[in-house]
Amino acid sequence: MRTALAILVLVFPLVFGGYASALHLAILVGIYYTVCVGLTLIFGIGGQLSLAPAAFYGLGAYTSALLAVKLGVPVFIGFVAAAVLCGVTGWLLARPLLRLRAVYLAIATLAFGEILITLIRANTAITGGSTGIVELPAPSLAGFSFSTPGRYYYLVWTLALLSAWIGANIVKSRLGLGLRALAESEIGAASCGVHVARYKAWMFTIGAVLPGLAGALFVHYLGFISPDSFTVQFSILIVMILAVGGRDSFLGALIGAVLVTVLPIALASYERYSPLIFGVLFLASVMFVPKGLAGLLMAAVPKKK
Amino acid sequence: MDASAALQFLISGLTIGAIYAFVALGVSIVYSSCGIVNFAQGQFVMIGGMVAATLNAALSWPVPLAMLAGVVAAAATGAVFGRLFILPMLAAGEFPLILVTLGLSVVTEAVAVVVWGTDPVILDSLVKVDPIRIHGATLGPDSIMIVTVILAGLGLFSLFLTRTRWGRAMRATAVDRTVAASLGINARYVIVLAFTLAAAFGGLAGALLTPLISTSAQTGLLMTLKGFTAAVLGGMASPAGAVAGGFLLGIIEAMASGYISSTYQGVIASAILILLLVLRPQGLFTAFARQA
Amino acid sequence: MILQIEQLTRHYGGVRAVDGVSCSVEEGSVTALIGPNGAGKTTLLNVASGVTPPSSGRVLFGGTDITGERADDICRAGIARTFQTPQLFPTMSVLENVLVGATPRGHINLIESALHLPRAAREEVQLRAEAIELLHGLGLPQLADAAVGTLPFGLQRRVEVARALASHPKLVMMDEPASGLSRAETEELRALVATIAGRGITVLLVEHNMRLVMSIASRVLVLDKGKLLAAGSPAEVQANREVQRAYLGS
Repeated sequence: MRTALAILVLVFPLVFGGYASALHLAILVGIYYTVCVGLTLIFGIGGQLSLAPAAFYGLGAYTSALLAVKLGVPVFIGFVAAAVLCGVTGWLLARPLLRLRAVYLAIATLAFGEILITLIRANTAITGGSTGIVELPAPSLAGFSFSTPGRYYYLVWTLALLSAWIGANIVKSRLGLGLRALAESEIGAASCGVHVARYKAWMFTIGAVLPGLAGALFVHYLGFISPDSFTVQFSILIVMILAVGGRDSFLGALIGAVLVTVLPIALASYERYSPLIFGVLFLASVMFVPKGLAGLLMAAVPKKK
Repeated sequence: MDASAALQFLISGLTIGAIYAFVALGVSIVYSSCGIVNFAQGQFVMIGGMVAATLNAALSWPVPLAMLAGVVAAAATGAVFGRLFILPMLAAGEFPLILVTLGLSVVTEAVAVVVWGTDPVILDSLVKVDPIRIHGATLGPDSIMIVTVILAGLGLFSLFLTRTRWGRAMRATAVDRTVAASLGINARYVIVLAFTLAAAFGGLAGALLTPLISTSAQTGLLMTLKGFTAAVLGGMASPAGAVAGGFLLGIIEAMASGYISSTYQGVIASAILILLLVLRPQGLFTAFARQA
Repeated sequence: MILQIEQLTRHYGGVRAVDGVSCSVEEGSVTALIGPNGAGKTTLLNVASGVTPPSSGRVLFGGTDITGERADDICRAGIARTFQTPQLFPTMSVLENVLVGATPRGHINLIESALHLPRAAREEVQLRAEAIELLHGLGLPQLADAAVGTLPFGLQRRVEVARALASHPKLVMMDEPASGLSRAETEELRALVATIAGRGITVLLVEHNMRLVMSIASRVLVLDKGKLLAAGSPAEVQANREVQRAYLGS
C-alpha cells in the first residue's frame, strides 16, 4: 500500500507531466496533505478540535515570504525559519489552550486565527495588507532552482511523504499510543505515566509545524502571498478534508485532500453550487460516515491476518 | 469634546452590544440544553437580516413585517436543525455534534450565497425620526429601537423561563440533564426548543442589525465568533451572563475602535477571549471549563 | 516501609474526606485498606497516586517525598494503580492498553520516535515482546488484539491489572478490584493478587469484601470517617472492638 503510493507519486509527473493543470492539482494535493497529516494527530488521534491550521499555514507562509523579500534570506532557510516559528508558537499556545474542553479549544483557536489574519491585514507596511506581496522567489538549493512545476512537485511531495512517514512513526510509537490513550481517559493515561500536558503540547507543535511548512511551500509555488488564503475558511476546509476522508488515518487525509482538489474541477460547470455540494458532503460524512471514506475503504478490504 | 466622544462610543457600543447580547443568548441557550457550542448560531443572524431585507426590497413588505418574517424564517431553520440534525447525533458525543453544527453553518452559508449572491444588502430603519443630540453625541432612533426591542425580548424570555412549564424544563435541563430527565422532562424537546429559540433570537438580532450595518450571505461565521466571544466573556452556561457579555463586548469594541483603531477591534475582542479562557478556565466558568 | 503516609488531610470544601491519617505499607506485603462507605479510602488512594493533591500532610515512597506530584511522575517512581471504575482505553486493543501501561519503561524521545531511529525500533520490539509475555502470564494472550471496550467487565479488570504491571511497579494499588465481579471471578482475582505478591510486588488494595481481605491480606488498615481506626494483622483487626462498632454501626 505504502510502496504503491510512493511509486504513484514518483511516476505521476512522467505520465501527466504534459498536463500543466494535472501537475498543479497534484502540487495542491501534496500541500493540503501535509497540513492534514499534522491535523490528523490533533484531530483524529488526540481527539481535539483545532481551528488554527489556517493561522499556522499563514504564519509559516508570511515568515518565509517576508524573510525572502525583505531580507533576501534564501528560501530554504526561510522554510526552516517558518517551521521553527510555527513550532515555537504552537508549543507556547498548547500549554494554556489544551487544558480547555473541546468546545473552548475550538473557540480559542478560532480567535487566534482571527487575531493573526487581522494583524496581517492591518500591517500594510510590512505585509502589503490585503494586496499582499508579489514576485516571491522560488526556492533553490545549491544552485538548483525549483522554478518549474515539475521540480516543485517533487519538492512538495518529498515533504508530504516525509510528513506522513513521520506521522505514522509517531502514531505507532509510545507517543502515539499515549495520545490515543489520553483522548479516551486522561486520568487513566496519567496513571500509566503519560505526561498528559507534554504529550498534548508535542501533538499541537507538530500540528503547527506541518501547516507552517506547507503554507511556506504554497506561497513560493504561487509566487505571491495575500491574506485571503489564510482565513478561517481554510481551517474549515481542512476539517472538511479530514471529516470526509476519515480523520483517524493518514490515508483518510490523502483521500480527502484529493477529493477537495479534484471535485471543483469535476463540478466546474456547476461552479455556483460547488461550496454547497462540499458543505452537504461534509455534513453527510459527519452524520452518516464517521470514519470517512477511508473507513469505508478499510471495511471493504478484508483485513489480512 | 472628549466627553461627548466617549458618550458617542458608549451609545454605539450599547447598540451593537444589544445585538451581540442576543447572539450570545442563543449560544448560551443551546450550550445549556446539550453542552455544545453551535457554530451555526451566526447563520441565524444572517438569515434574519437577509430575509427581512429581501422581503422589504423585492416585495415591498413594510419593515416591521419583513423583520418579523426574518425572525420566523430563522426560528424555523433552528427548529429544523435541532430536530433533523442535532437529535439524531446526540448519542455520538460532543465532538461529532460540534462538527455537525460546523457543517450546518457551512451548508447554510452556501445556500445563502446561491440564493442571494455575496453582495451586502441594507434595510430601511424601523422608525424614521430625527436623531436626538445629547451633550454633543448623537443618539439615533435605531439605537433606541434596538435596545428597547432587545430589552423587551429579554424580559419576555425571562418570564418564559420562570413562569412557563417549558421555561422551567429548560432551566432544569441547564442545571443537570440527568436530574431533569428523572423529573420527567424530555431532553429531546428541550433541545429542539433551545435551537428554535436561539435561532429566533439570532434572527431578531440580524433583522435589527441590517438597518444599522449591511448584512451579506457571508456574515454568519463572523457573527458566530462574536456570539462565542460574548458568551465566554459573561459565562457560557448562564443566559444572563451571556447577555451581559454581549453588552460588554459591544462597549469594548466601540471603545477600542474609537480610541485605538477600528482595524484592531477584532484583535482586541479575540485577545480578551483567549486571555479569559487561559487565565480563568475556572473562576467565571468554574464547573465546566475544565475537563473533570 | 515502602509507603509512608504522614498526617495526611484532604478536604473538599468543609468535608474532611481524609483527616490527619498516618499509616504505612510494608515492602512485600499485601495490605488491605478497609472501612465503611465514605471512610476516605479512595481519596487516600487518589492522593497517594497523584490523582488528587493533598490539603496537607506528606506521602513518602521508598523514603522519597512524593507529596502532590503529578500522577505520571508517581507512576514513573514505581506506583501503579487500578480504578474502581476501570479507566481503560476502550477503542484500543488489550495489547495497546498494556503498552500504554509500559510508558515509564520507554526512554526514546520525540525525535527518535518521529524518525524511527534504531533505538526507537529496538525499544518498540522489546516492549511489545514484554507486553505479550505479561499477557501470557495473566492468561490473556488470546485477547491481545481484542478491543478492550468489547470485553466483559471481569476481563476488563484483569486488563487494567495487566496494564498496571506493565510499568514494572514496586507498589500496585487497587481500588475495589472485586466490585462487580462474580464469585468465580473473585476467586481468579485472589489468585491474581497472590501471583503479583509472588513476584515481590507490594500490593495495597481497597476492598469491601471482608472474606477476600481476610484471606489474602497480611496487614489491614481500617479507615473510618477519614481517620485511621486500626492497623494490624487480619486477626488483630477483626478482634478490635472499635472496628466492629464502626462496621456494625454503619
